[in-house]
Amino acid sequence: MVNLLKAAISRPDFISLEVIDIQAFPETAEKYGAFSVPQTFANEKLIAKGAQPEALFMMSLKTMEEQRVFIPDSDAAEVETDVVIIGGGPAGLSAGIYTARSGLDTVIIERGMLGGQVALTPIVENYPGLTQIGGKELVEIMVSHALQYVTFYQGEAVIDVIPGDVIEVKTNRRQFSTRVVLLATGAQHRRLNIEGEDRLSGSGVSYCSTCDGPLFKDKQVIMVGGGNSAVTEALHLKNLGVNVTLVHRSDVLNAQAHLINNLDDSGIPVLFNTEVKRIEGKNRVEAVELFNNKTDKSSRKETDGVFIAIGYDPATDLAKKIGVALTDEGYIRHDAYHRTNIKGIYSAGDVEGGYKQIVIAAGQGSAAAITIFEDIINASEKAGK
Amino acid sequence: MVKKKEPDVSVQDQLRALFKGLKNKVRLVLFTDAAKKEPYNQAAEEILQIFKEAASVFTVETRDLKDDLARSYNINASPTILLDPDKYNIRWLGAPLHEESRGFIEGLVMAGMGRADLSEDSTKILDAIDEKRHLTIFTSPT
Repeated sequence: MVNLLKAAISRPDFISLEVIDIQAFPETAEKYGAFSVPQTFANEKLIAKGAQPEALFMMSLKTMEEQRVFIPDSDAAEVETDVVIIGGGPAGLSAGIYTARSGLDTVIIERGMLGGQVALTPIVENYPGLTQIGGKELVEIMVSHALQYVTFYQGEAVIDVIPGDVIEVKTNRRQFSTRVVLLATGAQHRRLNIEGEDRLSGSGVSYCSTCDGPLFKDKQVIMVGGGNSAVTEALHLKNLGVNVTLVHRSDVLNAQAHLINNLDDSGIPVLFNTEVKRIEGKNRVEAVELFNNKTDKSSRKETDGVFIAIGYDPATDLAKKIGVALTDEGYIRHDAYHRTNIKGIYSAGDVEGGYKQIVIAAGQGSAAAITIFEDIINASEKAGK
Repeated sequence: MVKKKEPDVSVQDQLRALFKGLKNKVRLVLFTDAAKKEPYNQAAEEILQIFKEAASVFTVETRDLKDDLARSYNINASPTILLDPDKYNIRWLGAPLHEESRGFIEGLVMAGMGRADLSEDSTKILDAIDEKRHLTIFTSPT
Protein backbone atom coordinates (compact mmCIF):
# COMPACT_ATOMS: atom_id res chain seq x y z
CA MET A 1 0.00 0.00 0.00
CA VAL A 2 2.69 2.49 1.06
CA ASN A 3 4.75 1.78 -2.05
CA LEU A 4 1.77 2.52 -4.28
CA LEU A 5 1.09 5.78 -2.46
CA LYS A 6 4.75 6.71 -2.83
CA ALA A 7 4.57 6.04 -6.56
CA ALA A 8 1.35 8.04 -7.01
CA ILE A 9 2.64 10.96 -4.90
CA SER A 10 6.04 11.01 -6.65
CA ARG A 11 4.80 10.71 -10.23
CA PRO A 12 1.27 12.19 -10.35
CA ASP A 13 1.85 12.94 -14.04
CA PHE A 14 1.88 9.24 -14.94
CA ILE A 15 0.65 7.26 -11.96
CA SER A 16 -2.91 7.07 -10.65
CA LEU A 17 -4.02 4.93 -7.74
CA GLU A 18 -7.28 3.31 -6.74
CA VAL A 19 -7.50 1.53 -3.38
CA ILE A 20 -10.43 -0.84 -3.15
CA ASP A 21 -11.68 -2.30 0.10
CA ILE A 22 -12.76 -5.85 -0.75
CA GLN A 23 -15.23 -5.91 2.13
CA ALA A 24 -17.02 -2.79 0.93
CA PHE A 25 -16.77 -3.76 -2.76
CA PRO A 26 -16.66 -7.56 -2.97
CA GLU A 27 -18.08 -7.63 -6.51
CA THR A 28 -15.16 -5.56 -7.85
CA ALA A 29 -12.67 -7.83 -6.10
CA GLU A 30 -14.38 -10.84 -7.65
CA LYS A 31 -14.19 -9.27 -11.11
CA TYR A 32 -10.40 -9.02 -10.73
CA GLY A 33 -10.13 -12.43 -9.09
CA ALA A 34 -8.55 -10.72 -6.07
CA PHE A 35 -9.41 -13.27 -3.43
CA SER A 36 -6.42 -12.57 -1.22
CA VAL A 37 -4.96 -9.22 -0.25
CA PRO A 38 -2.98 -7.20 -0.95
CA GLN A 39 -2.96 -7.69 -4.71
CA THR A 40 -1.75 -4.93 -6.98
CA PHE A 41 -2.74 -4.44 -10.58
CA ALA A 42 -1.22 -1.95 -13.01
CA ASN A 43 -3.39 -1.19 -16.03
CA GLU A 44 -5.44 -4.23 -14.96
CA LYS A 45 -2.42 -6.58 -15.05
CA LEU A 46 -1.42 -8.29 -11.81
CA ILE A 47 2.07 -7.05 -10.93
CA ALA A 48 2.42 -7.90 -7.25
CA LYS A 49 0.99 -10.32 -4.75
CA GLY A 50 1.64 -9.40 -1.16
CA ALA A 51 4.07 -6.77 0.02
CA GLN A 52 7.31 -6.12 -1.85
CA PRO A 53 10.38 -4.11 -0.89
CA GLU A 54 10.13 -0.56 -2.27
CA ALA A 55 12.62 -0.74 -5.15
CA LEU A 56 11.39 -4.18 -6.16
CA PHE A 57 7.82 -2.90 -6.34
CA MET A 58 8.90 0.10 -8.42
CA MET A 59 10.67 -2.29 -10.78
CA SER A 60 7.50 -4.41 -11.03
CA LEU A 61 5.58 -1.24 -11.80
CA LYS A 62 8.07 -0.17 -14.45
CA THR A 63 8.28 -3.56 -16.16
CA MET A 64 4.56 -4.33 -15.62
CA GLU A 65 5.57 -7.75 -14.36
CA GLU A 66 6.10 -9.05 -10.86
CA GLN A 67 9.81 -8.89 -10.07
CA ARG A 68 11.31 -11.00 -7.35
CA VAL A 69 14.93 -9.94 -7.51
CA PHE A 70 16.08 -6.35 -7.47
CA ILE A 71 19.38 -5.49 -9.07
CA PRO A 72 20.59 -1.99 -8.18
CA ASP A 73 21.71 0.25 -11.01
CA SER A 74 25.11 1.94 -11.07
CA ASP A 75 26.24 5.25 -12.55
CA ALA A 76 29.95 4.48 -12.31
CA ALA A 77 31.74 5.33 -15.57
CA GLU A 78 34.77 3.18 -14.74
CA VAL A 79 34.86 -0.04 -12.77
CA GLU A 80 37.98 -1.90 -11.65
CA THR A 81 37.55 -5.57 -10.90
CA ASP A 82 39.31 -8.92 -11.01
CA VAL A 83 36.84 -10.84 -13.13
CA VAL A 84 34.33 -9.73 -15.75
CA ILE A 85 31.82 -12.40 -16.68
CA ILE A 86 29.95 -11.68 -19.88
CA GLY A 87 26.60 -13.49 -19.81
CA GLY A 88 24.17 -14.02 -16.95
CA GLY A 89 23.00 -17.57 -17.66
CA PRO A 90 23.71 -20.61 -15.45
CA ALA A 91 27.39 -20.73 -16.51
CA GLY A 92 28.01 -17.06 -15.75
CA LEU A 93 26.05 -17.09 -12.49
CA SER A 94 27.76 -20.22 -11.24
CA ALA A 95 31.19 -18.89 -12.25
CA GLY A 96 30.47 -15.62 -10.45
CA ILE A 97 29.63 -17.39 -7.20
CA TYR A 98 32.86 -19.41 -7.42
CA THR A 99 35.25 -16.58 -8.36
CA ALA A 100 33.80 -14.21 -5.78
CA ARG A 101 34.00 -16.85 -3.09
CA SER A 102 37.66 -17.32 -4.07
CA GLY A 103 38.23 -13.71 -3.11
CA LEU A 104 38.15 -12.23 -6.62
CA ASP A 105 36.06 -9.12 -7.22
CA THR A 106 33.56 -10.20 -9.83
CA VAL A 107 31.02 -8.50 -12.05
CA ILE A 108 28.49 -10.06 -14.40
CA ILE A 109 27.41 -8.14 -17.48
CA GLU A 110 24.18 -9.25 -19.15
CA ARG A 111 22.73 -7.32 -22.04
CA GLY A 112 19.32 -8.98 -21.95
CA MET A 113 17.45 -11.20 -19.56
CA LEU A 114 19.29 -12.90 -16.73
CA GLY A 115 19.16 -16.68 -16.88
CA GLY A 116 19.56 -16.98 -20.63
CA GLN A 117 17.67 -19.88 -22.16
CA VAL A 118 16.60 -21.13 -18.72
CA ALA A 119 14.38 -18.09 -18.23
CA LEU A 120 12.44 -19.18 -21.33
CA THR A 121 12.07 -22.79 -20.22
CA PRO A 122 8.55 -23.39 -18.88
CA ILE A 123 9.38 -26.24 -16.51
CA VAL A 124 12.73 -27.68 -15.45
CA GLU A 125 12.58 -31.22 -14.10
CA ASN A 126 16.19 -32.37 -14.28
CA TYR A 127 18.10 -29.97 -12.08
CA PRO A 128 19.37 -31.97 -9.11
CA GLY A 129 17.55 -31.20 -5.90
CA LEU A 130 14.61 -29.51 -7.57
CA THR A 131 12.02 -32.05 -8.68
CA GLN A 132 10.07 -29.54 -10.71
CA ILE A 133 10.57 -25.82 -11.01
CA GLY A 134 9.66 -23.08 -13.47
CA GLY A 135 12.62 -21.84 -15.48
CA LYS A 136 12.05 -18.27 -14.38
CA GLU A 137 11.84 -19.31 -10.76
CA LEU A 138 15.10 -21.26 -11.04
CA VAL A 139 16.75 -18.17 -12.52
CA GLU A 140 15.49 -16.07 -9.61
CA ILE A 141 16.98 -18.53 -7.14
CA MET A 142 20.32 -18.53 -8.98
CA VAL A 143 20.41 -14.75 -9.37
CA SER A 144 19.48 -14.18 -5.72
CA HIS A 145 22.33 -16.49 -4.73
CA ALA A 146 24.84 -14.80 -7.06
CA LEU A 147 23.71 -11.36 -5.86
CA GLN A 148 25.20 -12.15 -2.49
CA TYR A 149 28.64 -12.22 -4.10
CA VAL A 150 28.80 -10.37 -7.41
CA THR A 151 27.76 -7.03 -8.87
CA PHE A 152 25.40 -7.20 -11.83
CA TYR A 153 25.35 -4.83 -14.77
CA GLN A 154 22.17 -5.81 -16.54
CA GLY A 155 20.83 -4.26 -19.69
CA GLU A 156 24.16 -3.14 -21.07
CA ALA A 157 25.91 -4.63 -24.06
CA VAL A 158 29.62 -5.30 -24.30
CA ILE A 159 30.89 -3.40 -27.30
CA ASP A 160 34.56 -4.29 -27.15
CA VAL A 161 37.16 -6.22 -25.18
CA ILE A 162 40.81 -5.23 -25.46
CA PRO A 163 43.09 -8.01 -24.19
CA GLY A 164 46.28 -7.24 -22.28
CA ASP A 165 47.76 -7.53 -18.79
CA VAL A 166 44.83 -5.37 -17.77
CA ILE A 167 41.88 -6.21 -19.99
CA GLU A 168 39.57 -3.35 -20.95
CA VAL A 169 35.89 -4.19 -21.36
CA LYS A 170 33.75 -1.48 -22.90
CA THR A 171 29.98 -1.51 -22.68
CA ASN A 172 27.46 1.04 -23.93
CA ARG A 173 27.43 2.55 -20.42
CA ARG A 174 30.91 2.28 -18.89
CA GLN A 175 34.38 0.79 -19.01
CA PHE A 176 35.70 -2.08 -16.90
CA SER A 177 39.39 -2.80 -16.17
CA THR A 178 39.86 -6.43 -15.24
CA ARG A 179 42.41 -9.20 -14.92
CA VAL A 180 40.31 -11.81 -16.70
CA VAL A 181 37.19 -12.13 -18.81
CA LEU A 182 34.92 -15.15 -18.88
CA LEU A 183 32.78 -15.47 -21.99
CA ALA A 184 29.53 -17.18 -21.02
CA THR A 185 27.48 -15.68 -23.80
CA GLY A 186 25.43 -18.81 -24.47
CA ALA A 187 23.72 -20.12 -27.57
CA GLN A 188 20.20 -19.90 -28.86
CA HIS A 189 18.33 -22.80 -30.37
CA ARG A 190 17.25 -22.11 -33.92
CA ARG A 191 13.57 -21.67 -34.50
CA LEU A 192 11.37 -22.71 -37.39
CA ASN A 193 9.67 -19.28 -37.44
CA ILE A 194 6.30 -20.71 -38.42
CA GLU A 195 2.74 -20.03 -37.30
CA GLY A 196 1.90 -21.57 -33.93
CA GLU A 197 5.52 -22.06 -32.84
CA ASP A 198 5.65 -19.15 -30.39
CA ARG A 199 2.08 -19.45 -29.19
CA LEU A 200 2.35 -23.15 -28.36
CA SER A 201 5.90 -23.08 -26.99
CA GLY A 202 5.69 -24.90 -23.68
CA SER A 203 2.30 -26.33 -24.71
CA GLY A 204 3.58 -29.10 -26.92
CA VAL A 205 6.31 -27.23 -28.79
CA SER A 206 9.70 -27.99 -27.25
CA TYR A 207 13.36 -27.47 -28.03
CA CYS A 208 14.61 -29.93 -25.43
CA SER A 209 13.73 -33.62 -25.51
CA THR A 210 15.88 -34.24 -22.43
CA CYS A 211 13.75 -31.76 -20.51
CA ASP A 212 10.28 -32.43 -21.89
CA GLY A 213 10.46 -35.93 -23.40
CA PRO A 214 9.10 -37.78 -20.32
CA LEU A 215 5.88 -35.75 -20.57
CA PHE A 216 5.11 -37.42 -23.92
CA LYS A 217 5.40 -41.09 -23.01
CA ASP A 218 2.99 -43.18 -25.13
CA LYS A 219 2.08 -40.07 -27.11
CA GLN A 220 2.69 -39.09 -30.72
CA VAL A 221 5.29 -36.44 -31.47
CA ILE A 222 7.37 -35.27 -34.39
CA MET A 223 11.05 -34.40 -34.18
CA VAL A 224 12.01 -31.72 -36.68
CA GLY A 225 15.58 -31.80 -38.00
CA GLY A 226 18.07 -34.12 -39.64
CA GLY A 227 21.39 -33.53 -37.91
CA ASN A 228 23.12 -35.19 -34.97
CA SER A 229 20.93 -33.40 -32.41
CA ALA A 230 17.64 -34.29 -34.07
CA VAL A 231 18.57 -37.95 -34.52
CA THR A 232 20.02 -38.26 -31.01
CA GLU A 233 16.95 -36.64 -29.52
CA ALA A 234 14.59 -38.78 -31.61
CA LEU A 235 16.36 -41.89 -30.32
CA HIS A 236 16.14 -40.51 -26.79
CA LEU A 237 12.40 -39.97 -27.17
CA LYS A 238 11.90 -43.45 -28.57
CA ASN A 239 13.82 -44.83 -25.61
CA LEU A 240 11.46 -42.97 -23.29
CA GLY A 241 8.48 -44.70 -24.86
CA VAL A 242 7.44 -41.77 -27.02
CA ASN A 243 6.04 -42.53 -30.50
CA VAL A 244 8.28 -40.23 -32.49
CA THR A 245 8.46 -39.50 -36.21
CA LEU A 246 11.48 -37.69 -37.62
CA VAL A 247 10.62 -34.91 -40.09
CA HIS A 248 13.47 -33.67 -42.27
CA ARG A 249 13.36 -31.13 -45.08
CA SER A 250 16.10 -32.82 -47.14
CA ASP A 251 16.34 -36.30 -48.64
CA VAL A 252 19.41 -37.20 -46.64
CA LEU A 253 20.23 -37.01 -42.93
CA ASN A 254 23.25 -34.96 -41.85
CA ALA A 255 23.98 -37.13 -38.82
CA GLN A 256 26.93 -39.37 -38.01
CA ALA A 257 26.79 -42.87 -39.51
CA HIS A 258 26.38 -44.71 -36.20
CA LEU A 259 23.45 -42.48 -35.29
CA ILE A 260 21.80 -43.20 -38.64
CA ASN A 261 22.36 -46.93 -38.07
CA ASN A 262 20.76 -46.66 -34.64
CA LEU A 263 17.88 -44.75 -36.18
CA ASP A 264 17.36 -47.48 -38.79
CA ASP A 265 17.42 -50.15 -36.06
CA SER A 266 14.99 -48.23 -33.88
CA GLY A 267 12.16 -48.32 -36.39
CA ILE A 268 11.55 -44.56 -36.04
CA PRO A 269 9.68 -43.45 -39.18
CA VAL A 270 11.39 -40.66 -41.14
CA LEU A 271 9.53 -38.25 -43.40
CA PHE A 272 12.13 -36.97 -45.88
CA ASN A 273 11.71 -33.88 -48.05
CA THR A 274 9.14 -32.68 -45.57
CA GLU A 275 8.80 -29.21 -44.09
CA VAL A 276 6.59 -28.18 -41.20
CA LYS A 277 4.56 -25.17 -42.33
CA ARG A 278 2.21 -24.60 -39.42
CA ILE A 279 1.57 -25.88 -35.91
CA GLU A 280 -2.09 -26.15 -34.97
CA GLY A 281 -3.88 -26.37 -31.65
CA LYS A 282 -6.09 -24.28 -29.42
CA ASN A 283 -4.38 -24.61 -26.05
CA ARG A 284 -1.97 -27.42 -26.89
CA VAL A 285 -0.38 -28.83 -30.01
CA GLU A 286 -2.94 -30.89 -31.88
CA ALA A 287 -1.57 -31.21 -35.42
CA VAL A 288 0.98 -29.93 -37.92
CA GLU A 289 0.66 -28.93 -41.54
CA LEU A 290 3.37 -30.65 -43.56
CA PHE A 291 4.62 -29.85 -47.04
CA ASN A 292 6.48 -32.31 -49.23
CA ASN A 293 8.94 -30.19 -51.21
CA LYS A 294 9.44 -32.97 -53.77
CA THR A 295 5.79 -33.63 -54.61
CA ASP A 296 4.56 -30.12 -53.68
CA LYS A 297 1.75 -31.73 -51.68
CA SER A 298 0.54 -30.57 -48.27
CA SER A 299 -0.87 -32.81 -45.60
CA ARG A 300 -2.07 -32.63 -42.02
CA LYS A 301 -0.64 -34.84 -39.32
CA GLU A 302 -2.13 -35.14 -35.87
CA THR A 303 0.46 -34.98 -33.13
CA ASP A 304 0.72 -34.26 -29.41
CA GLY A 305 4.09 -32.60 -29.58
CA VAL A 306 6.57 -30.89 -31.88
CA PHE A 307 10.22 -31.18 -30.89
CA ILE A 308 12.58 -28.93 -32.80
CA ALA A 309 16.30 -29.65 -33.10
CA ILE A 310 17.59 -27.73 -36.07
CA GLY A 311 20.74 -26.48 -34.43
CA TYR A 312 22.03 -23.69 -32.26
CA ASP A 313 23.46 -20.30 -32.94
CA PRO A 314 26.23 -19.66 -30.41
CA ALA A 315 26.61 -16.01 -29.42
CA THR A 316 30.18 -15.58 -30.63
CA ASP A 317 30.17 -12.13 -32.25
CA LEU A 318 32.17 -10.70 -29.37
CA ALA A 319 34.55 -13.69 -29.26
CA LYS A 320 35.22 -13.27 -32.98
CA LYS A 321 35.83 -9.56 -32.55
CA ILE A 322 38.44 -10.21 -29.84
CA GLY A 323 40.13 -12.88 -31.93
CA VAL A 324 39.07 -15.90 -29.87
CA ALA A 325 39.42 -19.08 -31.95
CA LEU A 326 36.27 -21.03 -32.78
CA THR A 327 35.65 -24.69 -33.56
CA ASP A 328 34.47 -25.88 -36.97
CA GLU A 329 30.93 -25.86 -35.55
CA GLY A 330 31.29 -22.20 -34.61
CA TYR A 331 31.64 -22.61 -30.85
CA ILE A 332 34.47 -21.17 -28.74
CA ARG A 333 37.58 -23.33 -28.90
CA HIS A 334 38.98 -23.98 -25.44
CA ASP A 335 41.27 -26.33 -23.55
CA ALA A 336 40.12 -28.82 -20.92
CA TYR A 337 40.25 -26.02 -18.33
CA HIS A 338 38.13 -23.49 -20.27
CA ARG A 339 41.06 -21.33 -21.41
CA THR A 340 40.71 -19.85 -24.88
CA ASN A 341 43.61 -19.06 -27.21
CA ILE A 342 43.90 -15.56 -25.71
CA LYS A 343 45.59 -15.08 -22.33
CA GLY A 344 43.12 -13.96 -19.71
CA ILE A 345 40.03 -14.87 -21.75
CA TYR A 346 38.06 -17.95 -20.67
CA SER A 347 34.78 -19.55 -21.75
CA ALA A 348 32.00 -21.62 -20.22
CA GLY A 349 28.52 -22.89 -20.97
CA ASP A 350 26.56 -23.29 -24.18
CA VAL A 351 28.92 -21.02 -26.14
CA GLU A 352 31.41 -23.88 -25.87
CA GLY A 353 28.99 -26.33 -27.55
CA GLY A 354 28.09 -29.62 -25.90
CA TYR A 355 24.83 -30.78 -24.41
CA LYS A 356 23.06 -27.49 -23.63
CA GLN A 357 21.93 -28.52 -20.18
CA ILE A 358 21.56 -26.17 -17.22
CA VAL A 359 23.48 -28.40 -14.84
CA ILE A 360 26.31 -28.81 -17.33
CA ALA A 361 26.55 -25.06 -17.99
CA ALA A 362 26.58 -24.41 -14.24
CA GLY A 363 29.30 -27.05 -13.83
CA GLN A 364 31.38 -25.56 -16.63
CA GLY A 365 31.02 -22.13 -15.06
CA SER A 366 32.33 -23.34 -11.73
CA ALA A 367 35.16 -25.30 -13.42
CA ALA A 368 36.20 -22.20 -15.39
CA ALA A 369 36.09 -20.15 -12.20
CA ILE A 370 38.45 -22.57 -10.45
CA THR A 371 40.84 -22.38 -13.40
CA ILE A 372 40.68 -18.59 -13.29
CA PHE A 373 41.50 -18.57 -9.59
CA GLU A 374 44.41 -20.99 -10.02
CA ASP A 375 45.82 -19.09 -13.01
CA ILE A 376 45.71 -15.81 -11.09
CA ILE A 377 47.38 -17.39 -8.05
CA ASN A 378 50.08 -19.01 -10.22
CA ALA A 379 50.71 -15.74 -12.06
CA SER A 380 51.03 -13.88 -8.74
CA GLU A 381 53.46 -16.48 -7.41
CA LYS A 382 55.59 -16.24 -10.57
CA ALA A 383 55.59 -12.46 -10.36
CA GLY A 384 56.63 -12.74 -6.69
CA LYS A 385 59.59 -14.91 -7.60
CA MET B 1 11.27 1.83 43.71
CA VAL B 2 8.42 3.70 42.02
CA LYS B 3 7.79 2.70 38.43
CA LYS B 4 7.55 5.68 36.13
CA LYS B 5 4.06 6.01 34.73
CA GLU B 6 3.84 6.09 30.92
CA PRO B 7 2.03 9.16 29.58
CA ASP B 8 -1.54 8.43 28.56
CA VAL B 9 -1.49 9.48 24.93
CA SER B 10 -4.79 9.33 23.08
CA VAL B 11 -5.11 8.41 19.44
CA GLN B 12 -5.93 12.03 18.70
CA ASP B 13 -2.74 13.18 20.41
CA GLN B 14 -0.72 10.65 18.43
CA LEU B 15 -2.25 11.89 15.20
CA ARG B 16 -1.58 15.53 16.13
CA ALA B 17 2.05 14.66 16.81
CA LEU B 18 2.32 12.76 13.54
CA PHE B 19 0.78 15.55 11.46
CA LYS B 20 2.56 18.38 13.30
CA GLY B 21 5.26 19.10 10.74
CA LEU B 22 3.02 19.02 7.68
CA LYS B 23 3.23 22.18 5.60
CA ASN B 24 1.00 21.57 2.59
CA LYS B 25 -2.77 21.95 2.61
CA VAL B 26 -4.42 18.62 1.77
CA ARG B 27 -7.91 18.60 0.34
CA LEU B 28 -9.96 15.48 1.07
CA VAL B 29 -13.18 14.98 -0.86
CA LEU B 30 -15.64 12.32 0.22
CA PHE B 31 -18.38 11.19 -2.16
CA THR B 32 -21.31 9.28 -0.75
CA ASP B 33 -24.71 8.21 -1.95
CA ALA B 34 -26.96 10.32 0.25
CA ALA B 35 -29.92 8.06 -0.48
CA LYS B 36 -28.20 5.17 1.26
CA LYS B 37 -27.09 5.47 4.83
CA GLU B 38 -24.59 2.70 4.56
CA PRO B 39 -22.26 2.00 7.47
CA TYR B 40 -19.20 2.48 5.23
CA ASN B 41 -20.35 6.02 4.35
CA GLN B 42 -20.75 6.93 7.97
CA ALA B 43 -17.42 5.36 8.92
CA ALA B 44 -15.64 7.26 6.14
CA GLU B 45 -17.19 10.54 7.28
CA GLU B 46 -16.19 9.89 10.88
CA ILE B 47 -12.59 8.98 10.19
CA LEU B 48 -12.04 11.96 7.89
CA GLN B 49 -13.43 14.17 10.63
CA ILE B 50 -10.86 12.71 13.04
CA PHE B 51 -8.04 13.55 10.64
CA LYS B 52 -9.41 17.05 10.07
CA GLU B 53 -9.47 17.70 13.80
CA ALA B 54 -5.92 16.41 14.20
CA ALA B 55 -4.33 18.90 11.78
CA SER B 56 -5.39 22.20 10.31
CA VAL B 57 -3.75 21.39 6.95
CA PHE B 58 -6.58 18.97 6.14
CA THR B 59 -9.85 20.15 4.67
CA VAL B 60 -12.77 17.79 4.17
CA GLU B 61 -15.61 18.23 1.67
CA THR B 62 -18.51 15.82 1.55
CA ARG B 63 -20.29 15.58 -1.78
CA ASP B 64 -23.20 13.59 -3.09
CA LEU B 65 -22.54 10.90 -5.66
CA LYS B 66 -24.96 12.69 -8.00
CA ASP B 67 -22.95 15.88 -7.71
CA ASP B 68 -21.38 17.30 -10.91
CA LEU B 69 -18.00 16.99 -9.23
CA ALA B 70 -18.51 13.22 -8.90
CA ARG B 71 -19.25 13.05 -12.61
CA SER B 72 -16.20 15.14 -13.45
CA TYR B 73 -13.99 12.69 -11.55
CA ASN B 74 -15.91 9.71 -12.94
CA ILE B 75 -16.88 8.51 -9.48
CA ASN B 76 -19.73 6.07 -9.11
CA ALA B 77 -18.97 4.15 -5.91
CA SER B 78 -20.00 5.14 -2.42
CA PRO B 79 -18.01 5.91 -0.37
CA THR B 80 -15.08 7.20 -2.44
CA ILE B 81 -12.41 9.49 -0.99
CA LEU B 82 -10.18 11.61 -3.20
CA LEU B 83 -6.80 12.47 -1.72
CA ASP B 84 -5.79 15.98 -2.73
CA PRO B 85 -7.33 15.71 -6.22
CA ASP B 86 -5.84 19.01 -7.40
CA LYS B 87 -2.37 17.49 -7.14
CA TYR B 88 -2.77 13.72 -7.20
CA ASN B 89 -4.90 11.05 -8.79
CA ILE B 90 -5.52 8.91 -5.72
CA ARG B 91 -8.92 7.53 -4.80
CA TRP B 92 -10.02 5.30 -1.98
CA LEU B 93 -13.11 3.13 -2.37
CA GLY B 94 -14.43 2.25 1.07
CA ALA B 95 -13.60 3.58 4.50
CA PRO B 96 -9.96 3.48 5.66
CA LEU B 97 -10.53 1.56 8.89
CA HIS B 98 -8.33 -0.55 11.14
CA GLU B 99 -5.31 -1.90 9.19
CA GLU B 100 -6.18 0.22 6.18
CA SER B 101 -6.07 3.42 8.19
CA ARG B 102 -2.29 3.07 8.52
CA GLY B 103 -1.86 3.22 4.76
CA PHE B 104 -4.27 6.14 4.49
CA ILE B 105 -2.39 8.06 7.20
CA GLU B 106 0.88 7.43 5.33
CA GLY B 107 -0.78 8.93 2.27
CA LEU B 108 -1.90 11.96 4.27
CA VAL B 109 1.63 12.49 5.58
CA MET B 110 3.15 12.20 2.10
CA ALA B 111 0.60 14.61 0.64
CA GLY B 112 1.13 17.00 3.56
CA MET B 113 4.90 16.85 3.08
CA GLY B 114 4.56 17.02 -0.70
CA ARG B 115 7.05 14.20 -1.12
CA ALA B 116 7.35 10.46 -0.64
CA ASP B 117 10.98 10.06 0.49
CA LEU B 118 11.80 7.38 -2.03
CA SER B 119 15.16 5.63 -2.02
CA GLU B 120 17.65 6.62 -4.71
CA ASP B 121 17.11 3.32 -6.54
CA SER B 122 13.32 3.72 -6.49
CA THR B 123 13.55 7.32 -7.71
CA LYS B 124 15.65 6.27 -10.69
CA ILE B 125 13.21 3.52 -11.62
CA LEU B 126 10.14 5.74 -11.23
CA ASP B 127 11.76 8.54 -13.21
CA ALA B 128 12.20 6.14 -16.11
CA ILE B 129 8.45 5.46 -16.37
CA ASP B 130 7.12 7.34 -19.37
CA GLU B 131 3.71 5.75 -19.87
CA LYS B 132 0.51 6.00 -17.84
CA ARG B 133 0.07 3.44 -15.09
CA HIS B 134 -3.24 3.03 -13.31
CA LEU B 135 -2.68 1.13 -10.10
CA THR B 136 -5.43 -0.82 -8.40
CA ILE B 137 -4.85 -2.43 -5.03
CA PHE B 138 -7.28 -4.61 -3.15
CA THR B 139 -7.07 -4.37 0.60
CA SER B 140 -9.05 -5.34 3.64
CA PRO B 141 -9.45 -3.56 6.97
CA THR B 142 -9.00 -6.89 8.78
